[in-house]
Amino acid sequence: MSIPMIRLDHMSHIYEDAEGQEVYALKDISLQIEPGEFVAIIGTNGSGKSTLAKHFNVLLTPTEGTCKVCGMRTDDLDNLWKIRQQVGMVFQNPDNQIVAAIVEEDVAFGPENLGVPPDEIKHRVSDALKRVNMTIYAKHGPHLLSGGQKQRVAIAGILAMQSQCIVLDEPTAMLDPIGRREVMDTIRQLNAEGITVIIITHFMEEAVQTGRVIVIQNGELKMDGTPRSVFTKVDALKSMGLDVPAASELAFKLREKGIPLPGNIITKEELGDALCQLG
Amino acid sequence: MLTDITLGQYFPGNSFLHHLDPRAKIIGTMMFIVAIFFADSLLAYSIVTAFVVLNFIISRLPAKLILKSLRPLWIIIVFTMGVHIFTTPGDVVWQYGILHVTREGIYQGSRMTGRLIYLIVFSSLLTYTTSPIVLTDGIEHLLNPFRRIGVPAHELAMMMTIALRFIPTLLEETDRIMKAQTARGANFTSGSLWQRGKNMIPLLVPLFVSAFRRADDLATAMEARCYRGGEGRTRMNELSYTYRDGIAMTAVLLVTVVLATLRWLV
Amino acid sequence: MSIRLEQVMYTYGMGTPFEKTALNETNIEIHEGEFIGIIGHTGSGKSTFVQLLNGLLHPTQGTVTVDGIDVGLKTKAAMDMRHKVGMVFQYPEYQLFEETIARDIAFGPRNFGLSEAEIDERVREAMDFVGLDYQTYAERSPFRLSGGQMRRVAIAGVIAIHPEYLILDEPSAGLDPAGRREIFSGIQRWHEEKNITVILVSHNMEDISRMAGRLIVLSQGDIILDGEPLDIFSTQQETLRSAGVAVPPVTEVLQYLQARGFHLNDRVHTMDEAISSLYHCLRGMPHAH
Repeated sequence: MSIPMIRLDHMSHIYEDAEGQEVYALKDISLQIEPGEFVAIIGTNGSGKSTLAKHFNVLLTPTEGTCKVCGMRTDDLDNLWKIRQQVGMVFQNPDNQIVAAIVEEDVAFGPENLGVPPDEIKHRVSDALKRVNMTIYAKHGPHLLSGGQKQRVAIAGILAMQSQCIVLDEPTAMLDPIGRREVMDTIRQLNAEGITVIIITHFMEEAVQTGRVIVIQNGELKMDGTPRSVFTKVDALKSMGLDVPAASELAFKLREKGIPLPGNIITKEELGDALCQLG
Repeated sequence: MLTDITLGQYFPGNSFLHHLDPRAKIIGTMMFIVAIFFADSLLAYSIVTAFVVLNFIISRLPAKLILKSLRPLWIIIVFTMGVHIFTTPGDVVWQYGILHVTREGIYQGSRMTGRLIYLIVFSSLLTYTTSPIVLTDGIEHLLNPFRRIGVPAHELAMMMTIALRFIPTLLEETDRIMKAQTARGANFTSGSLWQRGKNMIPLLVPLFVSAFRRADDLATAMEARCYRGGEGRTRMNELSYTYRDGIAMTAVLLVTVVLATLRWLV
Repeated sequence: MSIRLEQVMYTYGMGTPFEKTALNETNIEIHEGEFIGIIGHTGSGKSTFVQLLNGLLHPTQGTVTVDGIDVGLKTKAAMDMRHKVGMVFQYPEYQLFEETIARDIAFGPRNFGLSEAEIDERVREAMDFVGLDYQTYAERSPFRLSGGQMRRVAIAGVIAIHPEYLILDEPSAGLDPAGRREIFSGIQRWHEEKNITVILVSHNMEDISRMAGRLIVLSQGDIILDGEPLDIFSTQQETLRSAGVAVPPVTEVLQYLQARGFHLNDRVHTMDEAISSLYHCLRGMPHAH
C-alpha cells in the first residue's frame, strides 16, 4: 500500500469570531486522497472549502484531529518545509502571488528558496515553463500577461519545486472563459503526467472534468464521490445552493415529469444517448 | 494614462554596457561621479565629455535619451546655474538693480551645472542599460559584506524586487479606483489645495486597503512557496565577472586617474 | 432618450510606442429601457466601450452623446449628464472607503449636491434595494462585512445616484448561485419598475440569456454581433466560438440534441423553458411513452 497523499482524521478547525465566539470553520472531516488523484472541492461562499485547502499546505493547522501529507503530520513543525515542497498552492488572485518582475525569475523563486543549485534551477525553470506552455514568455513582465497566463506561471512555479501535489484555490474565479480553459487544460495534462491535483471551484463544468468531487457545506463534508454520483443528486445540491451541470438538471427534471431516463446522466452526450434509446 | 509610465527606465539591448556585471556598473558609475568632481580645467571637462559621449555611443541608445534623462531635473539645473551666476562676487559684466552677473559667476555656474548634467546623464546610463532586477541583485551583492554589521542586505533587495513588481499593478489599481470614484461624482482635479487633498481620501483609503490585502496575499503565497528569508537561499542567475568588466573598470579607473592628475599634479 | 456613439474610436497611449487601438470606429445607439448584455473576452475592447459611455474615457475620435448631450465636453450640462450613467466596476467592493456603510453609499449623492434629507432617503432606498437592513447595517464599517455583502454596499453606492443608465461589469464574479441571484433580482426589479437602461458585461451566458433583451458581442475592438440574444445563440455559434465566447450551457445541450436529430426549440431563456421544450419534443415522439 502506498502512503496517501493527504489524510484527514476527524479534523476540525475552530476560530474565534469578532464577538469571541468559537466557530467551527471545519467540523470533523475525515478523508483520504491518493497520489495521482484529480479532486474537485465544491461548496458555496463561506462553506469552508478554502480553509480546508489551506490545511494541505500547512498555511493552517487543525484545531482538532490530524492532517497528514505524505504521511507527515502537519502540526509537527519539523515537517513544515518538506510538506510545502510536496504540496504547492495556486491562489485565486493571479496578481497577488507573482513575486518577481520577470516570468522566469518568478518560476525560479520556489527552487531558490529550497536552495537548489543554480544550474539545476535553470533546468527546472525551462522544463516547468515548457510543461505549462509558457516558454516564449520567459523574459516577459508578468503585468503584461493575461489572467490565464499568470495562473500558468504560478503553476510552473510549483512544478519547478518538483511538488507531487498541486492545490488550486479557485484559480479560475477571476478569469475569462478562455483563461479558464487554459488553466483547466494545463492541470488536466499535469494530472495525466501523475501529479495529484486538488481544485477548489464553484464552476461545475470544471468539477465534472475531475475524477472525484467533494462537497463541503457549513464546514462539514456532505458528499464525496465520482462526479457522476455527486452531480446526479440534483435536489441535494440545489438545496445546498449549488449549481449542477445543465445535462444533469435536464435529465433530472425530465424524470420528475415521468420520462423514463436512467439516473446517472451528467453530460450532454449521455443525455443524447439515453434519449435516443427512448425513441 | 497612469499605466503608460515606464519604470526603472530600462531599455533592453545587447550592447557591451548591457552585458556588464551590475556590480561593476554600480562601482564604475560611483567612481566616475567622483571623478567628475575632480574636473576643473577645460581639458578635464573635455575628457569627461568625451567619456560620457563614448559610453552613450557604446550603449547604442538613441541620443534623445540624454535629453529625456535631464528633463525631470531641469529646474534644479537652472537653479544651480542661477545661484552661481548671480551670487558669485567678482568682475561685474552686467548689472540691473541689485542683480549683477560676474565673469567668475558665469565660470563657476557653468562648471557646477556641467558637473550636475554629467552626473545625471551618466547615472541614467546605468538605469537605462540595467534591468531593475539585475540592479537589485547587484546592490544586494555589494551590501553583503555589510551584513555582519547588521545591514539586512537580502531583505532590502527583496523589498526592492517586490516594489518593482507591484508598481505597475498598483498604478493600474489607482487608475481603476479613480475612475470608479469619478463615476460617483468625485473630483480629483479642481478645487483649492486643501479641498483637493481632502478629495484624495476616497482614492487613498481603497488604495491602501488594497495594498495591504495584496501584501497579505503575497506573504501567504511566498510562504506557500517555501520562502523563509535569505538563509540557505540560492539564486538562478548568479552574478559573475567577465573580461568585459575588467575592461570597463580599467577604463573608468584610467579616466579617474587622469582627472585626478590634471587636478593636483599639473 | 438614448446613448449614442458616432464614429467613435479609442486608442491608448497615442503617440507613444505603446499605442494600441482598443476600439475601432463604432456607431451604436443604446435606447432607454433596454437590458443589454455585452460579451467578449479580455482585450476585446468591452471595458473601453463601457467606459466611453459615461465619459470616463474620452474618444480619440467621434462623439458620445447621452440624451443628446456630448459627454466629452467640459460644460456644466455635460458634467450633469455624466451622473445619469452609473457604473459598477468589477470587484466594486474594493472602492469602499468610508467609516460607515451609510456614509459610503451617501458619497455619490453628496457629490451631486443633494440635500441631507434627500441623501438620507437615497441611502435608505439603496440599502433596501440590495437587501441590507438599514437599522442593522447603516452605522457599521463596510470593511467588516463578508465579500458578498461588501459587493452589495458598493452597488448600493451607485444605485443611490439614481442613474438612468446602469452599467455593471461582471457584478456576480466570484459569487455562488445564491449570491448571484440576490444581486440580479434587485437589478431586474429596478430595470422593470423604473424603466432604467441596464448594460451588463458578463461572461455568464446563462445570466445574459435570462435577462438581456439585446446582446452585443465584441471581438478585437469591433462590435461583431448586435441583436436579440436567442437569435444570436441559435444562428451565430461559429462567430461566437471564434470570438472566444460560448452559448449558455442549456442552449449548448439543446443544440447538441438538435444535431443528433431531435426536433426541438433551442430558443430558451431559462432551464424551465428548456425542460418544457425537450418534454414537448419527447411527447411528440412515437415511442417516448
